[in-house]
Amino acid sequence: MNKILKKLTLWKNAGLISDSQFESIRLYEEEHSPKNLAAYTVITLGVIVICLGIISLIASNWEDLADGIKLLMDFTILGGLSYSIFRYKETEKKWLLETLIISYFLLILASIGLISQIYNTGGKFYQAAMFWCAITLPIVLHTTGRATTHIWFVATIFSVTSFFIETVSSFKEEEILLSWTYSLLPALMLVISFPLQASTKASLQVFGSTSLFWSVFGFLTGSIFFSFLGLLDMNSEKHSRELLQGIIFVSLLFSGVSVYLSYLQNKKLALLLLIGLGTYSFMFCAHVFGFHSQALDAFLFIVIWFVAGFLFHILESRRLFEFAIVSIGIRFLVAYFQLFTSLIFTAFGLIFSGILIIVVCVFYIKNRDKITRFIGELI
Amino acid sequence: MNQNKFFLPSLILPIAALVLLTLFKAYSLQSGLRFILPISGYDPVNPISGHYVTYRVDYGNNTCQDDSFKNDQESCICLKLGEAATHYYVPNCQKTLLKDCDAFLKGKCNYGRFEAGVEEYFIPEEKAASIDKTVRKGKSKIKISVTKDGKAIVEDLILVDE
Repeated sequence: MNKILKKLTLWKNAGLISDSQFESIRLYEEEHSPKNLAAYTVITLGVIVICLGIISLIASNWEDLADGIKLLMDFTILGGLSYSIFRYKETEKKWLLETLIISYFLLILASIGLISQIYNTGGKFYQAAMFWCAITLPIVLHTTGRATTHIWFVATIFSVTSFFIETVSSFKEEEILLSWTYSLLPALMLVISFPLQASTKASLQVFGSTSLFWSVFGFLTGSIFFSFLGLLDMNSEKHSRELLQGIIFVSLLFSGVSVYLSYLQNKKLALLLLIGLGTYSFMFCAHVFGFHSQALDAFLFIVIWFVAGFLFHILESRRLFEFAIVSIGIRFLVAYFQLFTSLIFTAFGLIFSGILIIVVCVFYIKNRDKITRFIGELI
Repeated sequence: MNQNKFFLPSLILPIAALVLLTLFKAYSLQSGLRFILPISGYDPVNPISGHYVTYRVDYGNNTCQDDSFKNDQESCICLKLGEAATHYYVPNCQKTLLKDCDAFLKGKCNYGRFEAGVEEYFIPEEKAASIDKTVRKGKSKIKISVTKDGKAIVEDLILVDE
């Protein structure tokens, strides 16, 4: 609100808006802007901490209460929360509704823990997490709260990845991570994100944009793994290799569909995705088919993160854009240390790279219109 | 937000699912036949359900003897009622070998160990160390409830501190 007021004062002093316009905009913003966002974020954090406390209380397996009473209390709290959510579903106080939904969401996980404890169901943590994600999906599809949706995505990615690691014996753990978590899953999340973002329902738009976020995050984390750890040096059996190639093919298929879907909404975004996904697929193949090198990995990493930076720029996420650019800078530094053993070579290399970046950037700023027009003609 | 008719069902679904899960587990526990099996074990922690003691159940000498590796093939333990009864391992759950059993327990061999989902028992945090110590002595037992389709729930941990 303070930022808007400063701008408005500047515009009023410059004679761009009248006193009455200043006043009416100020009143409108005061009425519609989120009130004390920081305080509400802290309240949400407080609620999450309380819910974690309840989970710990259940985990301590308190003997003073009988199992039946524990279950009765648990279902009473769940019932009360679901009633409150329904009661306040139309409230103007969005923070209250989101806080209730987050509490309900986390306490469902606590309840699974309690039932599992009382009936000694055993099983792995990922099985409980998978069950939790499955029964809470309808809530996530009906909420506009980003915190709930982000928690759901993290839990789903974790539980499904753990499921594959525990049950698929033909792949090594790192192969499952890279073929599923850093390839097929982000491609799948990307492909569903565009139709959902185009939906008229606000909750589906939130689900779509969160899906896009975790998809990009998955690809970027994958690029870090490939670039620094080089984990996927293939020496698996033939059938595993064929299966892996099949997964790459399906991921490429999803990526192709994503580019087409994004093309229908935003041509610039489609071009960036095409370059980014193409480079990522090339990086993946370089590791699977064994023709990767440190220099190639560094180059591909920089291209992918540049594309991601521009993607964040288009999506108006300034902080993520800056994060991508800083990551590229760090990668440049690491690349020179990897490639040149001598400090003098590293120094000259970095100076040359820095000058090159500035020249390209100045060229882009001066010829922005021409470049944009040229890209527009290409598309 | 939340204007459509599916919002209320989406809120009720988790509670309904949890109630069904509770009833199913309670029914499985109540309806099964009870067996007491000797165990020995140790104590790790589950992030949502707390401390549990995990142990190796003694089903008899020949259990999973041929399976030193992880075997995805389902196998069974033939269970006989009575304190002094001898239970035995039935590879691939062959029906002919199971027909004389009072109940059977389904599971899989994992590196010479028969696993049927009854290898854990949740225990109170403050007693975890002492229970773990007792179970490690190898004289304790578990009481399980086995359903007709070969699934089991641990009903009780019988501690024998000798």
